[in-house]
Amino acid sequence: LVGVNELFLMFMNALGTFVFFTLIALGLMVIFGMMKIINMAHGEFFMLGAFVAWACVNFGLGFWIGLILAPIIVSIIGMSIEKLIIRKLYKIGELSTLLATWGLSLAITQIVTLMFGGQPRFMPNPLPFRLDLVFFTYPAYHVFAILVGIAIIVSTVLLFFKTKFGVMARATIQNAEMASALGINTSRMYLLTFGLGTGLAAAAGALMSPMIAVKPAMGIDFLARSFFIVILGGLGNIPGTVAAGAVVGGSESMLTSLLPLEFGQGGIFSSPAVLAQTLVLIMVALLMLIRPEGLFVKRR
Amino acid sequence: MAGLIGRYEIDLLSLALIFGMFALSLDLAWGITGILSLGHSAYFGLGAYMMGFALREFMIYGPPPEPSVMNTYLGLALAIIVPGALALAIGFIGFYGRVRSIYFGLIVLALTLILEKEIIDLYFITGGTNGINNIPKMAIGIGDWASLVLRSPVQFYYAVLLIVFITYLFTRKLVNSPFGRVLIAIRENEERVETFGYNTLKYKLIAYVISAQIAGIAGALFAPLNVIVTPTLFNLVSAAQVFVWVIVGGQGTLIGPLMGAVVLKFIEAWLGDLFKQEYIIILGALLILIILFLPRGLIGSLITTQYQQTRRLIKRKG
Repeated sequence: LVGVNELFLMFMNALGTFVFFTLIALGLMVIFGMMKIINMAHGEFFMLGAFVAWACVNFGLGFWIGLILAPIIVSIIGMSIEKLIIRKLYKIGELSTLLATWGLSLAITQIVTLMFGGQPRFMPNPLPFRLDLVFFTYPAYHVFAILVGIAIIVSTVLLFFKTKFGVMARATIQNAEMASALGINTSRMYLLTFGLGTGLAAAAGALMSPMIAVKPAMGIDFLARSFFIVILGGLGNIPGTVAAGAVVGGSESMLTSLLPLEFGQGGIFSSPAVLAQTLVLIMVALLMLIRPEGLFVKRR
Repeated sequence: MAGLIGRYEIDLLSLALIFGMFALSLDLAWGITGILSLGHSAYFGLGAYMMGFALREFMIYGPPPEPSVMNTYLGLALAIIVPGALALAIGFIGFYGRVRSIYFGLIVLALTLILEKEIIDLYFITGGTNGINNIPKMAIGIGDWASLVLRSPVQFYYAVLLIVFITYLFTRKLVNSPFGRVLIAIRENEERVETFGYNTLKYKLIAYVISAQIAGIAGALFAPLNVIVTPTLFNLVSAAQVFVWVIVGGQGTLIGPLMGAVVLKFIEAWLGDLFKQEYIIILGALLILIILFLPRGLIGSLITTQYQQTRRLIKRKG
């Protein structure tokens, strides 16, 4: 049986996975829910965020400046792409946006690969010590990243529910034509939303960059999970997205730590991490069979 | 023929045709029936792995066995059964669960990406990132005592040409049959077809399984030609490039995607290994540009389909 320490560690790991998955998925959801754009390039904005942080460390600016610069630079890139490409797609339909952003995703990944090379790179830990959390110790940077992640999620939720921008944004989610008739500049809303969504992805990327391998293909791993969270959370449902993040992130993290480590040592089962992802995929597919409109939406 | 063009060019032609067949299979699912199978490469990849396993007699480490007729037929059978079974399972969940088309596509894509990870992870069975190497040639005939090993590129090319030609005729016949008419109607308006009393879910499921099986056969032909199969068959680029082929060719035209794949494969070969990275950027840019400016596809914009002709006729009369 697991001891109290292991239980706390498992909880912290699950909390971290939940926060980071939700952060990425929230950006995707904002774009998907508001603009009806299936942004297949979302993982690439996450990757770009991590690369900005890596570049800042490499060129002497330091990690903390990178952490602040990443969402800013990437949302500028995102807004430029919205103006150049995405804007022309609103009228063509969901499927076309999916395919065009898929093309964008391929192009961005390859451009970064050409510029920096495809090899994974590991960044130094900016807070290389462990925090004493009464019952157990936990890496300080992980605690910091989790707290910052929660702060960003909470401010995004507040932004949508407590500010004028939020009211206009939610009006655009519900009925873009009506909102536009009532004097909301929807094309400006779309621009800002795309900037916000890509900025959230970049913030997640920069925040996670000291904990994972930074490489051009890193976005792909998170794309599928973010889509699961958005689909399970229900379209345009922000609290639902956060709850679905807990379901997907929590179950993946728990399964990874609960599955026996001997798996993946040349047996018929794969390693716990991969097996956990497979099981979560099956779980999501079955949940979608039961609740196609999302977990937290009442069935019509 | 062999005097004029070398082995490399003939192999390239076979490869292009195989990918053409793969694009054709996606066109049957997506272009004709409207099933958004974003991870269709999973079926191609599974077909390739099944043929690889069978030709190597399921012993991927050690020296390869001699080409054998029985192994070839077993590989072909597995390359039809396994992708078909997977498509049946996914299609059943997706169609009967009435999952939205785009969500269905994303689930299939996620499945392909997870298959890549599982194959890398289960190296004991699959060879991991190195994949299955030294895959023997295929052999055809009625037994090992009366067999023809497709050793030369020309022999293999004719076998591929024959199979792709038969597949094309079969899909065209299928699409032009009453069954195919229902598939096109489902693409246009599924609810209306349902109100006419058709079991649209059954139609979609059958079309999807057939499509996956065609992709599986294409994969099975790919394995001995390429000599090795690796998990990269399941990555995002592989999944996206078949969509580029279909879109370049024009979805729903069958011959268009086939030609699209052949043309793009030749362009890729012409650019060579030096520009492998740049080629992927070109693929991505093509996808964006065609969606923006030529929604009917590059070749599809040039040829008018029967469907358009009828529409024009109706407009003129009405």
